[in-house]
Amino acid sequence: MITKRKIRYILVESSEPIDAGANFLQIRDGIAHFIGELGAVEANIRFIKQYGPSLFAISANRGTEKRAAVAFSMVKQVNGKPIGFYTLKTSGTLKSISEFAATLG
Amino acid sequence: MFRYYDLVYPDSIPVNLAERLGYRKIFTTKEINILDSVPHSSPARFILASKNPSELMKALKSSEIAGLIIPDNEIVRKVFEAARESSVPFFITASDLTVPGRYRPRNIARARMFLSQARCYGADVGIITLSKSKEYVMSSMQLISLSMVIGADEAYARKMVSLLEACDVV
Repeated sequence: MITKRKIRYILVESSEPIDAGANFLQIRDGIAHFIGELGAVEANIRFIKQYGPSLFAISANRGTEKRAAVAFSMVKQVNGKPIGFYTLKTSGTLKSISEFAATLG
Repeated sequence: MFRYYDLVYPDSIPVNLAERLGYRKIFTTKEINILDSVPHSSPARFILASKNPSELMKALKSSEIAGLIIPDNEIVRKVFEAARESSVPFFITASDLTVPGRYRPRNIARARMFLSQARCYGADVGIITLSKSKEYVMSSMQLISLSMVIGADEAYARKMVSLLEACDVV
């Protein structure tokens, strides 16, 4: 039986402008350093969309979004540059995340 | 419904970021002083950060005390009892729990033990980022999740992030 992947979308803001898609492997390594390889597999965090220079959306499996939010706060540098990530909103639909991102500009 | 507050060092966060991070207000240490000893006369509310039990006990008698921070989250049982009686909360600093490197697991384990022991004694425990730079700032969602990592259930985690309001400093 094929089951649908139930996911949550998370809107993330970074303290510095970043191309999250191009650097997502480094970000995911930082996340996996905190939650472990097994936790990273369970969360299945993926880059979804960039909304602005420091605003982007990711997806995580439902039930792991809180762990993903904490893991983002543990990532303090990407490619040797200091950076902080703040999770702003979690939603079950990308539409809701996009609308919220639009209000932030 | 809880309203969330945070406390950071000045200039570590842009002024307009509070609302989008999910806080009602982000205080700076200019508004709520962080002191390492009890002042003779304090014009404003303050949070004492000290490991010295006698200094902590002295602070609990001050009318201007808003909370206590025990660096490294050391467990001082007699202070827990006194804090419960005077309803003064403890604050865990989240920036210590997110610091990269080998000390992070130790800091998280200590915070977990601190929260558990303080709650056993009936003392209130809050969480603030106390970030010195913007890399250590966290959203309210992240602070709630971090509180859950150190052993709070979701309802208590939300209370922890809103505890600055209960300190009568708002």
